[in-house]
Amino acid sequence: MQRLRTSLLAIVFSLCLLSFSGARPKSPPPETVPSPQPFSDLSFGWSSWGLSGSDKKFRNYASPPQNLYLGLSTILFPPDGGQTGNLWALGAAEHDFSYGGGATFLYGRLTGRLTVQRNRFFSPTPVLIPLSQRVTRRASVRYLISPDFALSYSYSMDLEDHFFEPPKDSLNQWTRYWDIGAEGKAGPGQLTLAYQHRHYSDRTVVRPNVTVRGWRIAYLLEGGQNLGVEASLARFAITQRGRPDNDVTSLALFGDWIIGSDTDFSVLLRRDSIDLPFIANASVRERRFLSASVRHHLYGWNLLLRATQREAERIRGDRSFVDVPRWRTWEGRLSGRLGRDFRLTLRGSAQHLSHFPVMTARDPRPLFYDGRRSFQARLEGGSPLLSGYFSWALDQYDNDARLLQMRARTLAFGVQYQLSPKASLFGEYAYENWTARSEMAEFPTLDSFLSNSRLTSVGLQWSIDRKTSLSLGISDFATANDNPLLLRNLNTSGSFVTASLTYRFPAGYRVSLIIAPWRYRDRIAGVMNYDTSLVLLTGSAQF
Amino acid sequence: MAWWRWSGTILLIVFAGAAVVSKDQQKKEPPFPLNLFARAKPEDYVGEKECARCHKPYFASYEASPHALPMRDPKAPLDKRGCEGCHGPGEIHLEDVEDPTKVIIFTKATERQVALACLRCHADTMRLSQWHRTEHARAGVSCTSCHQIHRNPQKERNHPSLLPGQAPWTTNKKDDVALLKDTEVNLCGQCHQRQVAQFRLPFHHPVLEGRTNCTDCHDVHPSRQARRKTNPFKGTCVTCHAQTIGPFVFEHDPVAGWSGDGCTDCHQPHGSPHPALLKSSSRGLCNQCHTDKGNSHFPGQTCWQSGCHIAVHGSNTDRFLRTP
Repeated sequence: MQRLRTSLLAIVFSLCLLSFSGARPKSPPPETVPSPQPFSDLSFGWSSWGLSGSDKKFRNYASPPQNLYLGLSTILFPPDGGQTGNLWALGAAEHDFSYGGGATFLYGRLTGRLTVQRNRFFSPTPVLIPLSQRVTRRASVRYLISPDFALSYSYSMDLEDHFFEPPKDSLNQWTRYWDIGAEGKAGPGQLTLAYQHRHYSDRTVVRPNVTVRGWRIAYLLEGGQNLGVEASLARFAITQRGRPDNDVTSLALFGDWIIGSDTDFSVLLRRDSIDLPFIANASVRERRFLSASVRHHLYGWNLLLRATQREAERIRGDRSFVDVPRWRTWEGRLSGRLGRDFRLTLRGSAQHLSHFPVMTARDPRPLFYDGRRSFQARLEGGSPLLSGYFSWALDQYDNDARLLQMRARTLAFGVQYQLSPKASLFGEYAYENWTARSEMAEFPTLDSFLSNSRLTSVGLQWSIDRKTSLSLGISDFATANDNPLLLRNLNTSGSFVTASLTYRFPAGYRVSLIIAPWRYRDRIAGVMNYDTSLVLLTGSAQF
Repeated sequence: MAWWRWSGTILLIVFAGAAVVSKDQQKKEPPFPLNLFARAKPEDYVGEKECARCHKPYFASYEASPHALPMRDPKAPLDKRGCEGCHGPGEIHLEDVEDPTKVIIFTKATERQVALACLRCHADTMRLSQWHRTEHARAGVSCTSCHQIHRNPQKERNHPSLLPGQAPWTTNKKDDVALLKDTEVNLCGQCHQRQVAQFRLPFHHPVLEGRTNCTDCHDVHPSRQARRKTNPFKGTCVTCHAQTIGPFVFEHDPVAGWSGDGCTDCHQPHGSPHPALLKSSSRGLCNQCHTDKGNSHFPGQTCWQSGCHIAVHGSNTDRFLRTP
């Protein structure tokens, strides 16, 4: 691994030198302004984890580099005869890396991009499981056949090997996707044509492979700057080997009309016809959706009102009609300035389910929420010296037939204080509180399984002088759960301090030192605890 | 069903009427900033070298930006070349350099004026009415709130923009092709602080680690990238979590995504205090709907970790979702 790193370091360094010396334009065309010089950036460093405790929790989402590593290295090829390009590598040969590049030809009329990203991580468990990994490769090309019309192609391959604590089965799968599209101005409007192909393959052979083929055609007609109507038709065929094909046909109509300088109106109508022939329990045959909204601007305040109706026509496994549950949602948002320095936003929504779905289970009461309500108030603003935001939100879910009510209340506020022209302090606090009541009267009630959480962050950004800057961030969280089954990962706390000092040398060289003492605690099962004193020393040079 | 047909018919009639009304409005002069280009003569375009004489630092910044290349296309029409392609004809600006109605200043223009200016060239991806129906447009967020035509030399950042709790070894890279002002999480987090706070909870989508981005899930505006998402049949989540795409012989309706709210009935997508981004822990999650199973159905067990209902997203073999 060490040799591979050294080789890669040498290759990237050589490429940088090459781009510096060879790719420079020979002489700028006399008619135009001189083009910028070629630009390469090479960053490398040394890192130590200083880890004690669970490396699975520490590497739950990502694996930091260890020992010598390559950071972000970039090569920009300067514009030359209408073409340019770039190459970059981040974390080359590390557990987590990404590589990419792009090229532009014909003054931007033809562009292409390519990226490869690998991510290695662990499921947080004390059980011995292998390292999981996900690799994504993406490529895209776009060609403008006229200034307003483009052809495009994109491709992606997503490979996933994900290991979990038993009894959950591991995932060993890939998904390949490609699409081809043509879109842009055609006649008096905008035309979109697209075809897509997606194939999912499960290498554990537990789930059937799935292929989705679909096409979409849409046309937007604009009546000046004030009116637009768009119709779109899409059809998808979902295929699994040895089973009848599934189809989804989606017809949509959008419209928006700017009625005056202060008022506009928009509407969306959509109908999905769904054919899922082999589903053996209740499924949906048709979905219908209507949404209309009005926005009005008055005395510096913006008012948005929206009404939405959604319904799903359900059928049984034997294809017989069951019911059409209907959801109606009312939404409103009011935002505007309070005085010169503050902005207030109020938003709320209420959703109600009517025509209750029929349940064939032993308990026939509906399993759907029949009501959802949400409200959020947000105040932000201040002076250049002291600014901040305050936000309070309530989300409520109801199922009256089952005497169920769940509520989440969220409070969040943050402050930024400009200590001096070169230094600023900020702090943030967020608290989320969940409560529930239902027909479960004896312990453990539903409320016993819900968690509250608290997050606190403070930080400092200080440009000490033109060459030196310091950044300090401290983040702390704690979660609380009655945890009646005494499970792992539910009563946790953590504190994450990240300090970064950067010094810039003349000629674009830069050195930065990052020290990150991080700490994680599980109050129920200490096997997931960890402490780390991560140190990253990075140097970067520009050519 | 009838309401859907009636709504469609009424909608078409209303918009046909509106089209007639707006046809009269089309005869009038187009709104600012399109009026600058509409009334410009070829000699009003002075060329970018003239602009550079007064706006030297901005010109240097523009030259280093990806915008410089397409704006120097010799085949491009005059009104889409150089500085004037975005800021308007130079000669009209020189008539009165203090008059803000004779030049497009993106920091002072309204969100609609900015969109009108940008979409003159970006019509291959989006038109004004498509932008207009986005939530961002309705909330007064303009193109230049997130995208940067070229850097403002007076507002260069001099310090790293690492969020508290953000992994210092992040592989989150700023998207230079989309000309974003910062990394997506930093940009979106300027307004969506509540969601960024949820990314700091012990279980979250790895956005602060740079493994996923906001636009992997959210459609900020119509784009080619949005086509990749599986919205039409089962919601966005199955784009990456493809093992749940199904269809399964026994779907877990209503949370399967065909009806109801789908994945978000059980999961909190940004972050959660519970493993697997669940709204509630253990059997409490199932008891949100299956209240009758609360304390009577194998009490003291977790519904799936106990090895019983392991195929919660859908099964091809068992109607009670006990085997995959």
